[in-house]
Amino acid sequence: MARPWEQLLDQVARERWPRLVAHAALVAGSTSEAPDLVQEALIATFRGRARFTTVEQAEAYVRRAIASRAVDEARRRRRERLVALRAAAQPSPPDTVEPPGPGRDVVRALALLSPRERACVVLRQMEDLSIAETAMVLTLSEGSVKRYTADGLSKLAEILGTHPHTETDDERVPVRPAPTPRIIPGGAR
Amino acid sequence: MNLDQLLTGARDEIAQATAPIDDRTLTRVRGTVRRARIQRHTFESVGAAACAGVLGLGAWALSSPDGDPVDPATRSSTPEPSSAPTTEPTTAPTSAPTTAVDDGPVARAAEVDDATVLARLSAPRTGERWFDEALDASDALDALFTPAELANGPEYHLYLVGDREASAIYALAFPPVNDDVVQWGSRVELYEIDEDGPRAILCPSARTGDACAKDFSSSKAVADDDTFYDTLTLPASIEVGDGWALSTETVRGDVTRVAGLPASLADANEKLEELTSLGSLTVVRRELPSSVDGLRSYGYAVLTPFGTILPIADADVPGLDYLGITWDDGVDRSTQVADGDWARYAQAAGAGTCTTAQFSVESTHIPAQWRTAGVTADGRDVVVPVSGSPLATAVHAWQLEHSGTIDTDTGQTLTGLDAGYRYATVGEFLDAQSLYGVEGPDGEWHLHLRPEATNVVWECA
Repeated sequence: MARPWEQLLDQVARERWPRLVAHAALVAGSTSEAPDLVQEALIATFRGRARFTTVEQAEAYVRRAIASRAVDEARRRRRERLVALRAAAQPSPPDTVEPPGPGRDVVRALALLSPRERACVVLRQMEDLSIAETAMVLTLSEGSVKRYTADGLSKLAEILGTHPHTETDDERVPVRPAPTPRIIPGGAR
Repeated sequence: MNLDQLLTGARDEIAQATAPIDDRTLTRVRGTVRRARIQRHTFESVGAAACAGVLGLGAWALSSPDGDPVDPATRSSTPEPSSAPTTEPTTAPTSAPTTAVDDGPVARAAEVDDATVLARLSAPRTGERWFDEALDASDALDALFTPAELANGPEYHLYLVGDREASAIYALAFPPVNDDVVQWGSRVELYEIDEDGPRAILCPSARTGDACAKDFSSSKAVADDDTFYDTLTLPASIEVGDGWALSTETVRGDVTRVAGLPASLADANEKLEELTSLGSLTVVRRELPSSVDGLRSYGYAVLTPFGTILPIADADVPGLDYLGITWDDGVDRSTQVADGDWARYAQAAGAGTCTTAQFSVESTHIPAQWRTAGVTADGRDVVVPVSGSPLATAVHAWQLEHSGTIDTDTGQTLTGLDAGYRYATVGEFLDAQSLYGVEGPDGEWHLHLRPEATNVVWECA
């Protein structure tokens, strides 16, 4: 008989696989890498002590694991590529071209962001994680999360030619506090 | 369209275009998680000592060129059933399998044709992987035994030999154990250990009629007669030469050897010569000590993928059934003369009674020194030495000179004829058709001794 964690793993994998793959495609900026990323995240999530008892809770853990692993993986690949390029003094190889497929334009646009920008955008905008939660998942400071999210959204909007996200207040990063209230002469008040 | 809508739309498009997870991927994920949890479980509950083996497993998995987790036993795709082992099929019958190798449920069957067995030896359904080399896992013995048992019991040796899905496979080996009278033979037991603890694998064969071990040594393990391995299932017949095949019927029915013998303990100083590879199994002839000049002696065996040895029983080697020979001189020699199972089959001509060698081969076979004298029960010609054969003289002399026993009344040591050796002269030895030959694979003549013509001994120890 399957153990509880096995039953939960099976349920998450069978019921949520397409959604998790879609999430991974966005957070990694690649549909081709998404299935592997989901597998790795499932393994990472279920190999440890169970911190969840429902499919919803487990899925949330898997989604966060996908995001953190996507960032780590992208940074690792970048490091390796830099090392290889330095060693060989060769021109940079072209980035992998996203094959035609559903959501291609968006995935291609996401691929142009940095891994952290991508992860912050997806976690904040699509997973509705708070700044603090996103910071914890990606091991970033809250300020960095705000900055990456704002930059990512701005770039995406530019690439896709659309309006920035409508609820960007919490992404605005104060440069410095205003020492004194600004008085607008002739203001409405 | 704003950015939120674009992102959400892309996510939904990708999700809708993504197929559900396939069983193979899910099984791979599940297996990897199981292994990881075993490792954690072992660290936390079994103790640091038991970790060594599991860590060894981890290290092996990391260094393996095929880092993928175990393929599921439920795999239903390639390879094709007709795919043969790495060498051409050498086992009769050579017809195509009557059952699809990887189709249907993974279950034991009462009847499995040899072509199917052979195909599964190379492409098992059951998911086991055997390590190239067994890893010493003696530090994990406390997963199988209590401290008191380890302190007072035999000197166990535990090896990590493979894995299957989330289980690590261990071989527990015993050196021979002596009590006051008898030296009990060495043996090997198989265990799987997963996060639920150890299980003793009692019935490793995929054929329901094959033997299951009746007992096991670990006090902490539970009996497992469900788990089996395609890679440890012997074909019924093994052809090692044109029209010359070994049967495996007896060894498959031996409850004491379901996991084989420790190869290093099967017989001292033996050399193994590969005859044919059957996927995970290797058929060998073991060169065993030979006592008569000009003769080399051998026995047949199968090597398992984890290094143990399954000797082919005398009953299953053509030519050893002395009692079944029909002699041209009309004399009925079909009655067993000496007592004991040891005397039911002939042995190698060049060794003594206590050998496990089954046949001897001359350095040079001279046909003129032999004459046809009968036929075996399965229709093979039997030759015997002509009168004056130097080889017959040498074999007789050695057996006579090395006969010895103890007079139970006086305690005196008796030798030669006094010890009860039957044939005083080489003439009597030859008249009794004691030394004979049967043609083996590739035209090689296998020389045997009838049981009563071997040297008398007090006991074999």
